[in-house]
Amino acid sequence: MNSPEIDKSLDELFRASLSPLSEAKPPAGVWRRVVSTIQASQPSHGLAAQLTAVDTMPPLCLSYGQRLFSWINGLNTIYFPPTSGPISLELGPWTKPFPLRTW
Amino acid sequence: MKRDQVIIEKDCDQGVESRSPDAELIRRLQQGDIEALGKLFETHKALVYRTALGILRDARAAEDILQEVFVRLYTYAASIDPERSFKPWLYRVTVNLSYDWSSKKSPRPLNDMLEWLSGVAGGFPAPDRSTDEKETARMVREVIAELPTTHRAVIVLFYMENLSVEEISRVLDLPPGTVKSRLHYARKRLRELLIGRQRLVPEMTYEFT
Repeated sequence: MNSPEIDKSLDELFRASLSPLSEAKPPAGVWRRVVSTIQASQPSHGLAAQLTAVDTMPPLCLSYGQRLFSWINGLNTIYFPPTSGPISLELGPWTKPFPLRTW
Repeated sequence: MKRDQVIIEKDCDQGVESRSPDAELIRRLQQGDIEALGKLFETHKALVYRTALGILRDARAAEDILQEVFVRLYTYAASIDPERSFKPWLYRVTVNLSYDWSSKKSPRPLNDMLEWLSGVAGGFPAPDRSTDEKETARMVREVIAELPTTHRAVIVLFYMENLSVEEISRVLDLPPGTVKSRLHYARKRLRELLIGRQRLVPEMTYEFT
């Protein structure tokens, strides 16, 4: 057996070992993380929303209208620009956002 | 032809307007259409997740990286050329974020990684396989677990994602020779293990001893 044939055999071993992983999909619940508390205030320059994550892992994002905020663990304070209309926050994913709170 | 080869080779077709669904969605995203982001996410989430999972063997980390990749897509959408294939961008960001994550975390203990690989790769080996096959499969997993993250990324892209050496070279911005040497190192390590534990057939053993 020559070297290319051996390499081919070794390649097949690697492929076989990794093939189950190629079917891996993210769990459906990956976006279900929620916030436990929301406190909002209306400072002079805009709304401040303070949110505390229940889970230690971050949710995907927080969206506000067309704005999107990435998320960090723990307590988060996000400032929104002043607006005259009601503010609704939604938590990602984009495909199935659910409302958090409307002020 | 390999699964992603056509798509990535089109990466070179600059100047020709891309009619791929990705290109249209990226254009829409650049105009602020967040629904387009959701569609890109649904289309490519499995690719990002399995690539990060293959490199890091940590499902929670892979979930985080999946999220971060698409937040970055949203953040940097304006800098993405919709005429170029989107998949190389996704692979590149996924691998780079995996490197970042890996560098910030303590290395996973080898036994822990082997146990994880056995669990995720639950279908391999099948219960009815011979003891020799099971032992060989275990050694393959051991080799993969031992590799540095940068080497493992090449292994995952080559053996799992079926990218060619040239495609990996472009995605990771590495010389093709470096990609080949990382593949060679992994094969060499597996050969050594197989020879050391007398799992190679005689002619293969002869070739390498």
